[in-house]
Amino acid sequence: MDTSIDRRRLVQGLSGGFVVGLAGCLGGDEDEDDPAENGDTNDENGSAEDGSAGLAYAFGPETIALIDPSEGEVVDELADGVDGYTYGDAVLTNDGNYLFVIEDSLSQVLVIDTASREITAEVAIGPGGTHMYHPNDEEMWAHSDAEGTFYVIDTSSHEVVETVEAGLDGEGHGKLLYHDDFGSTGYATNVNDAAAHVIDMDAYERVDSIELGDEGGTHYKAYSPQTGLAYFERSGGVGTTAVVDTETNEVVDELEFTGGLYLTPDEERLGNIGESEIRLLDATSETTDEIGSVTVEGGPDALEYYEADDTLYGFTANTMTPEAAVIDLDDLSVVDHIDAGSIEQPEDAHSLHRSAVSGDGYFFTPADADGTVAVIDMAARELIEHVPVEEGVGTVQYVPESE
Amino acid sequence: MSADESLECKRRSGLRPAWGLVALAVAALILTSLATPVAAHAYLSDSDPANGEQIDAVPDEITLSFSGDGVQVADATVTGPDGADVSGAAEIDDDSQLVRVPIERSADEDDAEGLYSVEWEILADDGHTVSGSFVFSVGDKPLDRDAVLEAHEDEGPDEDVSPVAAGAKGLLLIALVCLIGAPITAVVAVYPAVSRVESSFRSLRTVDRRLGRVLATAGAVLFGSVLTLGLVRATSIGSLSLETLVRFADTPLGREWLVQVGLTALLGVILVGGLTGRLPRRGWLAGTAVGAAFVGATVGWTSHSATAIDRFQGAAIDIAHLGGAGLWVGGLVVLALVVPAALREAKPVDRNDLAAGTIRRYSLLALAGVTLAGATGLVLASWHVPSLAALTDSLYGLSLSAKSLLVLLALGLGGLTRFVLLSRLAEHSSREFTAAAAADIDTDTVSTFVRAVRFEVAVLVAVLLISGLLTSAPTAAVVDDGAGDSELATIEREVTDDVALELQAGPTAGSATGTADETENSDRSNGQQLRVRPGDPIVFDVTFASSAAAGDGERIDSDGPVRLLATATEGDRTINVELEETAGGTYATVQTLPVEGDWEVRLTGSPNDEFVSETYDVRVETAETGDAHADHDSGATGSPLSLLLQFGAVAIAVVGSVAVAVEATRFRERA
Repeated sequence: MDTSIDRRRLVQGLSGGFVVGLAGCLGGDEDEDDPAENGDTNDENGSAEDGSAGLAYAFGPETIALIDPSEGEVVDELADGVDGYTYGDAVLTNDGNYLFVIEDSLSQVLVIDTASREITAEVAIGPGGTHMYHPNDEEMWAHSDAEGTFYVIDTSSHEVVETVEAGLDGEGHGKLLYHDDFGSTGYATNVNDAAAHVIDMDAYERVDSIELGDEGGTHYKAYSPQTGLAYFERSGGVGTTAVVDTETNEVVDELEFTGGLYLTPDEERLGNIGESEIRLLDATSETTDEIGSVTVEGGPDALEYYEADDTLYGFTANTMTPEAAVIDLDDLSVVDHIDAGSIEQPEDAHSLHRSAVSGDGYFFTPADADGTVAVIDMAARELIEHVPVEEGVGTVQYVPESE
Repeated sequence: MSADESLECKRRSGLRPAWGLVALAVAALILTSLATPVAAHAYLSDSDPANGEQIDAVPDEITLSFSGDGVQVADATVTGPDGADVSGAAEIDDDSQLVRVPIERSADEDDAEGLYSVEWEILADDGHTVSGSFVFSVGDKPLDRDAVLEAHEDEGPDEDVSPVAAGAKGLLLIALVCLIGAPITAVVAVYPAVSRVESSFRSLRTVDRRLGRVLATAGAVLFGSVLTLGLVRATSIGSLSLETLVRFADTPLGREWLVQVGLTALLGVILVGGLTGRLPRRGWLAGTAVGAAFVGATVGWTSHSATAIDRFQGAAIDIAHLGGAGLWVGGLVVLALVVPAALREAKPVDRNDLAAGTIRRYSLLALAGVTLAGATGLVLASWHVPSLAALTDSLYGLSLSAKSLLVLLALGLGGLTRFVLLSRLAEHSSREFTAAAAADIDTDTVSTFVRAVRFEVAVLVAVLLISGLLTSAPTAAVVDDGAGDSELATIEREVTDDVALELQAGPTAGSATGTADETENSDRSNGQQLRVRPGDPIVFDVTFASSAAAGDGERIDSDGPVRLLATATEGDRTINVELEETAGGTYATVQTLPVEGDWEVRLTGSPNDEFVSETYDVRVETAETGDAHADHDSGATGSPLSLLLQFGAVAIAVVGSVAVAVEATRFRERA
């Protein structure tokens, strides 16, 4: 155990202690609660109790495994009541005391006490839960895609205290964009609505919708504090990204690309995930100019930022190859490939997604085809271990060490 | 040996076979009551498509599988989504337990999608009409809540009884017990006693005349009731006409009826022969009793017991019950209508002897009859009455309760006649008193005796009329099996300070089991766990209302979708649906829980813009109450009440046999 602590400290030291996670959409939207994207910082997040601090939760259908990344092994398992579960986002409360995870097979949110490592509550929500957000200390907003509705869960009582119907037609996959700059306002996307919905998060209701066109819907979202612009990917074959001025809620621009947008920790650049490339955009520019792009063979997804030696790196788990790519985002070049294991690739799948999370210098990405979770040392850019877990693990969340 | 001694020897030898028969009957009763019934009445055991099933395309035909008894006549109507009759003529397979209903398919497949309802009616081997309905759907459209509820309401046995059929059956039973018991009583008890008095010739003629009238009347009633019953059953095929009668006669039930009519006609011939003096007294009396027993056998052959339990066992017990009743009631009829006339014809000084001698001999028969009827009656009850509650919950049970009370009353009257009046008659034996004194005393006693017997007969006629109703109604076991199927269990909970959630679910398979922290709204809602059958379409109906504490129970709309999530505790079956708002403002869905075992059903909704989530335990099982006819397949023989009744039957048989033996011994000693 002493060895692992030393190693972790070494990794933290080498990394400068700054890791920010951003990831793709499906297979866990853990990035959605990412402080950087939403203007928060890890400093505000408090820390987990010793019970789970420094451990990653790997969510399997029958077992939730706790992985010690320093040892590269499973140190505990939660199996009681876990039966055929399928998961959406896993989000840690700001105080680190609870890990909320969407479990869609029973339309519920599991609340895990990180201290006792037990499921302490099962909160009913609508079906089709995928994404969940933690806009303030008191609330988790879990989105039911089947209803286009957010279920607001009190983080203390673990009960649904409000529902917010965001979608226009009562259904559709959706996300929530929030930031301190917006005050009590949030923006909701919905793949069925060609609009960005304005949500009054205090009144728990949709108060307006920003029309973005006649066709398609909205999916990915991002915000640049430098310019006050919000970005809403136009889904459904439209092929553009709408830019909205959050001061006036008016559309000010339309960008000719799609895909997820991820703000860098310094809030000056936006990483855009394309099919086989990562595009870097200027988040300080009113016109969101493209800085450049880098081709990532094997298909990029789930981008996690990591800064070391005054260089910003991006770690992304590939969807088509059993690897994770390391990208020098200053130089816009792929600098490394690390064995990460394989994911399931169904023949009829429209697109493949691979989740990843990072924290304390570790990069985690599940390889559900292999029944493992790859644990990668971000500083050394090397695989620590393919940790055997249950087959079908597609969601991982890390509980950071105390800070 | 004197003439009297010789006569007594003959009488003694005549009693031995009766005694042997009783012993044999007791042995048979014990064996029968211990035997396990193997069959059941006709009921729909399966169908393809099944009730509530959703299928992709319209089938070429619908098959209805019946268990237990065979199907004599079948009729079925299949109504399509547009309300049109899409069914062809129902056909019964050779084994008489499968009915096929061809479906006329729509040219446009899209038009064919939707809810189909099947209404069926059959005439079963036992002569009872059984009907029901079920629904299935083609395509993805969900099952309609109201249609499912209606189908389940039809699923239970129909307790409607035709008054004409019940009345005819009652008269038939009265006639049969008279025709079986009266000749035997006359031969065993009346004629020997009358022949011993001095004025026997006149008395014998009187007995002949009176007995002839009684039996002729009974024969006419029998013929009329048999005819009426057949016609009523024939109308289950169609309106009464020659064509209907021909069709009915072509069914096994119709053929049995023809046999019954033929036997009744033959019985009529014997009666005519006897009454016109063309047949010897013993000959026509024996022929009458045997003929009536044969008619009784045909009745027993299509009785509840024969069709619902086992053809031979059931028929045997039913016929034995009828025979026992014949000995008791038929004999009483003779005592009430024939003997008083003979007493009037007898010299006053002989009346005591005549009355006492007749009563003593009859008592022996009556005791055997009561023993036989009582023991077999309890066996029948053990088959058809599954619980004490069934005695009040069904027409059959109520009828049986009334019948039992009246039988007890009649037994009391019989005891009065046997022990009180007979003792007085014995005390005032004519040989110890002057003729005048004896006449005064005897006139009073005989009058009392006649009044008591006639009242007893009246009570027993009522018993037989009730028996007509009893044998025309579905048994309590059948009703009990179907009972509650159409009921919705109700569970009400206070889900917030202001809102109550009422869940109605069903049809249930049994009583809910309770926990204390829930409001109990109905007999079947007294608990947390609902019990349903696998494969049954279950209606879940949800109502939000202001709670009792917060308001007047006014209904509240849900601001968000009302959902049901059902999860099998074991296995990976999950159902997740949104409930539809009904015209009544409730939220409903029809779902099938296909896997046996425990399920959790979670209901969510947003009444008063408050999200609520409630979980209910549901048990899906076929055991005990799962199969609508599981109880009945094994009769009601497994229940504690059934075991008690069977024990009672054996006890009555044993005690009654001993009593008969003691009575016979006393009789011989006295003689």
